[in-house]
Order: sequence, then structure tokens, then C-alpha cells
Amino acid sequence: MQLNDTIVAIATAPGPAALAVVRLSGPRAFAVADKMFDGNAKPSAMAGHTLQHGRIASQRGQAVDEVVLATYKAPHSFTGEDSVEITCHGGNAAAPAVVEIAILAGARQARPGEFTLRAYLNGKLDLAQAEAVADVIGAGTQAAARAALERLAGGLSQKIKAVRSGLLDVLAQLEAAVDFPEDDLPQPVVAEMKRTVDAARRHVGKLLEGSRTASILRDGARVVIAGRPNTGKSSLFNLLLREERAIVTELPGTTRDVLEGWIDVRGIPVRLFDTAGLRETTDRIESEGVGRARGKLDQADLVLLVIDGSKPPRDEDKTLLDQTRELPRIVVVNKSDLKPAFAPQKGWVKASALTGAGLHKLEEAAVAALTGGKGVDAGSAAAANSRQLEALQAALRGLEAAAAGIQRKLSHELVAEDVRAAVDALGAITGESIGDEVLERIFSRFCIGK
Amino acid sequence: MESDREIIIIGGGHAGIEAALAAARMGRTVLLLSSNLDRIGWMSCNPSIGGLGKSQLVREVDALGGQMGLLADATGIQFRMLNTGKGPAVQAIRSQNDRSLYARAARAALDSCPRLCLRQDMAARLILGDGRVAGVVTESGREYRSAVVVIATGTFLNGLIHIGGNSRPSGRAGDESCFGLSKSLSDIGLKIGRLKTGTPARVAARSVDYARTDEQPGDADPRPFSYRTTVSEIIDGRVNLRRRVWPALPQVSCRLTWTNRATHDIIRGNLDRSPLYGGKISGIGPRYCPSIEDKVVRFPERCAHQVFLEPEGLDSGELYLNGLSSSLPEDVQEDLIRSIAGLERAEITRPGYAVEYDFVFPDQLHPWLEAKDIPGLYLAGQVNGSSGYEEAAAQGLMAGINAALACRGEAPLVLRRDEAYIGVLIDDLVTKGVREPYRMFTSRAEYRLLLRQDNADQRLMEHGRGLGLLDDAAWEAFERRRRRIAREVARLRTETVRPDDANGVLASIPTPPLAGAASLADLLRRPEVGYRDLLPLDQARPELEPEEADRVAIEIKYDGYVLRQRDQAERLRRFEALRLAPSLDYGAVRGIATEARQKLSAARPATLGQAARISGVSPADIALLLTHLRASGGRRPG
Repeated sequence: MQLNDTIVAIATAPGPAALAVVRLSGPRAFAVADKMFDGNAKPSAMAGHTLQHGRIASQRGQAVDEVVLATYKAPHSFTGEDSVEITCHGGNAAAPAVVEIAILAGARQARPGEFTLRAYLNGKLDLAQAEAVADVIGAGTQAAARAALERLAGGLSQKIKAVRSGLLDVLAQLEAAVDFPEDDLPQPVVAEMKRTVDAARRHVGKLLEGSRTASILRDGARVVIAGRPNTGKSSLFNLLLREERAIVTELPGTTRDVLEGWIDVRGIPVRLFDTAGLRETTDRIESEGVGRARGKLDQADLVLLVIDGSKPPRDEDKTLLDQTRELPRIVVVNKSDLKPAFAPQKGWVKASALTGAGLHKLEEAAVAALTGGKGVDAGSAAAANSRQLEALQAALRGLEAAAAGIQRKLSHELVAEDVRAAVDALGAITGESIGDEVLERIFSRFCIGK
Repeated sequence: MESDREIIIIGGGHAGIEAALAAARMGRTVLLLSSNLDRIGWMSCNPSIGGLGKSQLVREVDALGGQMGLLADATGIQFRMLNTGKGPAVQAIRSQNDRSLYARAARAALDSCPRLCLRQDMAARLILGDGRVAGVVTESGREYRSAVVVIATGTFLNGLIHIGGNSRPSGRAGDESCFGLSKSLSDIGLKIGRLKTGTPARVAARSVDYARTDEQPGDADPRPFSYRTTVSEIIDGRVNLRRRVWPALPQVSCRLTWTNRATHDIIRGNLDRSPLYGGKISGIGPRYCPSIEDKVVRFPERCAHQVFLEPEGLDSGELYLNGLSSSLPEDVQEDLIRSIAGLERAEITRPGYAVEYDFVFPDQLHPWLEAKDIPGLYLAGQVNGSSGYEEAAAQGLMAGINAALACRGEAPLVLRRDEAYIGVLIDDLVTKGVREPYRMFTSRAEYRLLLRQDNADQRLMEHGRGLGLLDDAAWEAFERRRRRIAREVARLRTETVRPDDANGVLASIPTPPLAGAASLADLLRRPEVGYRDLLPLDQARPELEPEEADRVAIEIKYDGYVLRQRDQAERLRRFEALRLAPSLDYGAVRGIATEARQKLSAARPATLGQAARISGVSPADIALLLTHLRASGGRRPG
């Protein structure tokens, strides 16, 4: 990949908005801007961090949009390179046209994440922050954006740095005891080490837990509507989606393929699937749909099992209740607008896809189920992408081994081995390597020098 | 003009000795220049060899066919195994040595080595020709021609000794310092820095009240450094009757006493007379070996510091006050020493002092210790910013080996970080450079569980043998040892015991009983169970040397950890196998950060692995560098 040319892209998220920002970055950012901007001063003549109002014109001199142009001189920009940001009107017309003109003027269309990569390579972001930026750009909903933004501010890095620092202290103690046996040093205290390692385990565990929420926030939760035919699954799907997507009929087995749509359930992006009614069927197409529906169930973060509250439960309902017992699920007792045929069990949610009654309760239950009962508080959301997740898991493994080693009173160098593995794994997230840190701590804390 | 010597070694300290012996034993003709032939192999600081990390270096030097282990064993007057309460990877031998006997033994080794000549003369400047080393000119004006020169001058380059307000040029108390050479090195383009170290006073042994100090005896059953030192001889093979023949010298104790509040008050009251705190010393001293004034200032909450009284030798009559390194004026040193229990009437025989000296920034060297810009010039030891006899010896050995290999036109020997502490030492020096005198610690070795002192033979003797530095006897003893250990490890893994037979013995160890059958190896893996504990359960056990028995237990107990580290090392090795051409244009590597580009261009690392260890070079930079190499068809030897 070339990394020293000038690139351009729309820097704001796609979709309806009043304004959009087009970013140019690279050694020729100002030269390119000079060619396309029509204003009082040439962008290259402007000081860094200043704004100017003007017009973007095509090469034939045709004005495309009225814009505000901002200048950032290297290294004081997001990417650390010379950058120009052009704020133009939103919608589908202006911003793409501005990008096209910039490309004609000598810039290259940026690849996804390329601004962030440059920012990282120029030392503007640490690894966790760089990954967070990518998530802000990809974030589906506001809560997801907030979680990503918190990480951007170094939230994850800071939490991990604090944990890592405590562990480095333990490591320094162990290493000092190993390397300076004849110096008169305080020996590592088992209880103290255990306390620090246990606290680190809790923190990393919490970050891992939070990371499930975070990955739901980033990737969306997969919520699957299932049930025997004709319980009103498609009506519920349409209601949640707030549009008529699924065909609703009195005929059982109308929905044959899996339908899906994106919804925002109180800040959680949800990928909602409507599935074919689950029943034994001889219809080949319907049977294929049933197979797909069952496949979807296994990958679901949450299953909404719909049963018809106006009729006594059938064997098919009972089988499904049994089959989904182990899955994260909410049993939705639909058609609450009709006379109930049985008393729902505790925890089941009564709703009417027809009137919308119980929708509020259903959303509440869904949020609780998806976030482990904690709700969405982006402030606590932590990790992570799969690389960070893997590192956190490696750290946890190291910490568990270290805790066991301390408990078993293993020799210091063996405990140190596991603590070091944890410190290394955490450092992989924040981009720090141990280097001389342990020795620095030993020398600043202990009087060495037999 | 003399041109009959293939290699010239400048300096007869611990680095110079190893370099000269290795090169000569590898068949080269060698000239060793020393400014004082009576000080060959002199221990300038404490009369002690080994310690954590250092003992491992000595064992490695020994396994490669070097001299230091043999010298230390032959002249040791106390041996201790350190960290016996911890695992074998971090145990280490430390010896007290008779200073003058050590020097004499070193001199004898040089004197008896064929192809090696000694000459008392001080090197003044290097001769270059065709962009490489061509020889040395000495203070006496003599020219010695040679295509390969090893500089091992220790602290002698522009050495300056400080005692209180007095400063005088000297490389070590009593010896001249060397001026010309440092300038010559700087003239040929090497970057020179300044470091500092120090040494404590010595006192007359008869003036010390031993009763007020604690005795620090050596081990009752000491182990030698060298694989080639014979500990016992068989008197009667039929009954395995042995006679201990080592240590050959009488063994003595050290003494331990403590500084106190009065000592610290004296120091605090005289800091204005310290060259260190008065700003006279500009060189950077080691944090792990601070002067007593440093300890008192930096750790004011400590009201006592240890002082070890170490005998200088069997009949020297002087004691070395380890822990009291100081450059305070002599009268202050006397006051503070006499404030210490047992030393109230101590007579100082030589005051402590600080010494500042020039060193060559070691990141200007290839990993085989040759200067990157001056072919044929090798540097080893304290001149590279390291500290300690053992660190010096390790570098001297490698410089000597590589100088000899260069004469033969063969590829240099570079030990990897997962192969030897020597590899860690040299890689750290040439890759990370130094800011303070560099001392080895076991924590510097990321593969410490692999780099144990017990298995140095297994790691390195094949190299030593291949280079021609180990004789038949040493090699055969190693092969025998290796076979016996492997056989016994395999036996313990297959030999099983049943609960009925074992549980009585296990209860007496004590360790939990067995529920089902288990192998002896399974039992030995329990932390509380030792190899000897299992003897009553083990009828078929062969007769093993104590060292061999230890090795067997270690192989089994450390198994899991060793496998894990080997796995990590294997991954690293792939990076090490990717060589980077010295001519590689880092400006042409797309996308790497500016800082990394500058650092890589300056350092010109030998392998991708070394590049990754340069501070300021990120994993992303390495990924981009790797992409660049693939795109431009990078070489991948081996």
C-alpha cells in the first residue's frame, strides 16, 4: 500500500445529514485544494488551523457547492500529514462530487481506514485508539458511537494501563527477589501479590464481559423471531421494524425465507430476522425455509419465541419451548388483544403485534437479555475487536495461572513467567512492550548494590 | 614494522584474555598488547566471579571453550550457590577469588598458549588502509601491522580517577590511563561516550574486629563453574570410592556488617565534598551498583545498608568492603568506615574511588562485535559500555572467535537470544545501546527458563567443539553426560509405581498419596518431591553424578515451561532467519513511521528480529518492512 501520496474521502458517515466533510490528506493536500477551491485566498496561502468560506468548482469552473474549508498543517492534523477538510452540504450529491473533483485534481480515493492507518503510523494514535476510530466510522447507532468514542479518548487504554502498571509492580518485586538474592530486599509478600493479581483478574474479566456488550454495539445483536406457523411472527417483525416488510396472511407458512432488517432498540443496533414457521412440512420450499430458520436459531444472540396466546399451546409450541430452553430467549405471548387461552408463565412477555401493546415491555426485556441485565451504558462498554478480545483472554489465562502459582507457592521465576505473559498481552492492546520497565521499577524502588 | 601477526588484541583484562586465547586456539597468530604485563587478568573491582546472570555467562564461556570458569575454579577461596530456594533457572554460583592467584593463573594460560605473544606496550592509535583496519601504533612509536584488531581496553580510555576533590588520570588505581586511542577511535568516526563506575576502600584485615560481624561461610559441598573442573577422583572403582580433589585452595568465610545512622550522618554532612554531588563527574554510573553516598541520598528511609567484608586473597591481609563504594575524600571515607560495627579501628590500605572512562557506543557494532564502518576492527568488554568481568569475558570470547573466523574467511558466529545469555548480552548492547554500564540480569533474558547454568553444555558445546576450542576429553565427557541424562529421563517417564507400594514413602516426604498408578516422572513433577526422595521407590536407579541427577530432575520438573518457551523461541527464530542487507534503503520502505525509518537507517540491523527490538520501531513498521522485503525478493538464508 502506498502511504505517501495524497488521499481523499468523505470523512463523515453516509446517510441523511445536513453537512458532510470531505478530507484531503498527504503531501499534496494543499496543492490539490488550490486547484478546486475558489475563495479569497488560496488554501496553500492560509495558516494552519484556519477556516475560509468559498466555493468548490469543477475544472470547467462550474461551482458545485458552497463550502467552508479548514486547513491543518503537518504534524498538527488527525493524520499527522498536511490536511484540508471541506465541509459541504449533505445528501447524496455534493460530497461525492467534491471527492470526484479532488481526484481529478490529483488525489487518490482513500481506502477504508487509511486516514486512521496514517494517523497511527505517524504516532497520532495508539493501537486501541486507532481501532476505536474505525469503530466510530462503522458504528450503527448513537450508543455504539458513544462506546467507540470513549475508547477513542483512551478509555480502554487507560483502564488497561492501570491494570498493567499494577502487574509490573508485582513483576518488579519478583524479579528483584530473583536477581538480587544477596541484597537486603523486602521479599515479595504472597498476600499482596495475590491481591494485585486477583484485582487484575477481576478488571480484565470485567473488560471481557463489557466487550460482549461492545461487540453487540458494534456488530449489532442478532435477534431471531421464531415460532410455529401462524403465531404472528411476521406481524411482530413489521411492528418492530415499523414498516410493512413481511407479508402477513392468515395462511400458515407464508414466510418461507428468512427476512431481515436493522432496528435500534434503545441504542442497541439489532439485526432482526423473521423466520419461517417451524413445523414439519412436505412443501419442499417451505421445508428449506424451516431448515434455514433452525440454522439462524443457533447463531442468535436472542430468540423471540412467539406463541399464540389466544389458543391453547400445541405440541409444536411445546417442542419449540423445549428446543430453545438452552438459548438466550424471550417467550412472546402474542395476540394479547384476544381472550387469553392460558396463563403465561413467569417471565413471558404478553404482547399484541396488532395493537402494539406490550411492545415497550418486550424492548425492555430484549435490552436486559442482550446486555446481561445491565442495560446499555456506553460509558462502561469497553473492548473490543477480535484482536483485543484475544489479548484480553490471553491476559486472563496468564493471570489465572499466576494466581494458581502464587497459591501453590511456586518458585518466583515461574510465577513471574505467567505475570509477564499477562503484562505482554495487555501491552499488545496499548502498544507497549516491557523493555526496561521492570528494571526501571526495581532500581527506583529497591536499594540494589551489594 | 611487524606484520607477522594475524590478530592484535589490545588489552589484557578479562575480555582480552578470552579473545587472545580463543583466536590463538583457533589457529591464528595473535599478539596481545598490554600496558602492564604484571596486571594481566587483574580483578579491578571485587575479588569475586559469578552471581545471578553472570554465573550463567561464565558457564557459557566455559561450554564454548573459554577460560574464565577454569580460572575461577582454580583460584576460588569460597563458593556459594545462590537462590537455592528457587528454581534451577535462576540459581547461580558466586565465588570469592584470590586476586593475585587469579591473575597469575590467567597469565599462565596465556604464556602456555601456542601462537600467542605478549608485549608490554600501550596502543596509541589505529592504522587504517583501504577503509579497514591495518594495524596499531604504540606509545613507543612502534607500528604493528595486522588486518584484524580487537580493542579490549576496559576503563582505560581517558580514565580519570576521583577521590574527593582530587582527580587524576588513571585507568585503575595504580595504572596509567590510555589517551591516544580514544581520540584515534573518534577520529576514525566512532561515537564515544562517558561512563562512571566506582570501587570501595580496602582495609587491613588485622584491624577488623570480626566478633562484631556475622560470618558468611561458603557452601559445604561447592559446585565448580567449569564443566572441565574435576571435583573428585575415583580411588577404587569397585566400591565407587572417591576422593574430593576440588576446591584445591583452602576455603574461607566472608563477614557481614551494617552501616548505621552515624555512618549516614557522616555521609550527609560531607556531600558537598563528593565529586559526584559536587558536579565534577559527568559520566553516568550504574544504578545497580551505586556508591554508598548514592544509597544514602536515594533511600533516606533505610537506616542500614549491608557491608560485606571480602578477603582479597589467602595471604593478602586486605579486606574488600563490598557495598561501600565511594568517591568521598579519604578522611571522610575513614570516618564513615570507622562508624561501622567491627570497623571501629579499621586501617584503610587503599581508599575507594570513582573512575570515569570513555566507551564506544556499542550500537555501532555488528552482532559479531565488528565495527559496522571499519571492517577488521572488533571491540569487546567494558569499552562497549558493559560492566563486570563476566560480561567482558563473554564479549572477549565472541570477538576472538569472530576475529579468527574472519581470518579464515568464514561467516561469523552470532548466538541467538534463546540460545545463550551471551546472545542476550551482545544483542542488547548492539541493538538497544547503553545509557548506563550494562550488567546482566536474568530478567533481561526472555527465555530464562531455557538458558540455565546447568544446561550450558547442551546449548553451546557443539559450537565450542566445531570451532576447535574444546578438546577430546571435554567433548567425550559431555557426550557421556548427555547420554546418561537422556536415558534416565526416559526411564523415569516409563517406570511406574502402584499406590500400595508408593503411598508409605510418599507420606514420609510428605506429599499426597496416589489413587492410581503413576510414573516416577509424574511424582517428580510435584514441587515438593525431589529426585532423591524417590530412591526408596526406585530399585533400578543408575549411579549418577550429583550434577547429572540435578539435570534429570530439572528436565522433568521444568518440562511444561520449557516447551512453552521453546515454542515462543521458535516463532522468534523465523524473524531472526530473515537477514537484512546492510545496504538496505529504509527510505524506500513505504509507510514506516519517520522515527522508525531514522532509527533503522542508523542501526542497520542484521536481521528482521534485531530490527523489531530497536526501540521506536513498532510492530506495524516491521509488518511494512516485511512486505517490502517480500516485494523486493528478500533473501532468506538457512
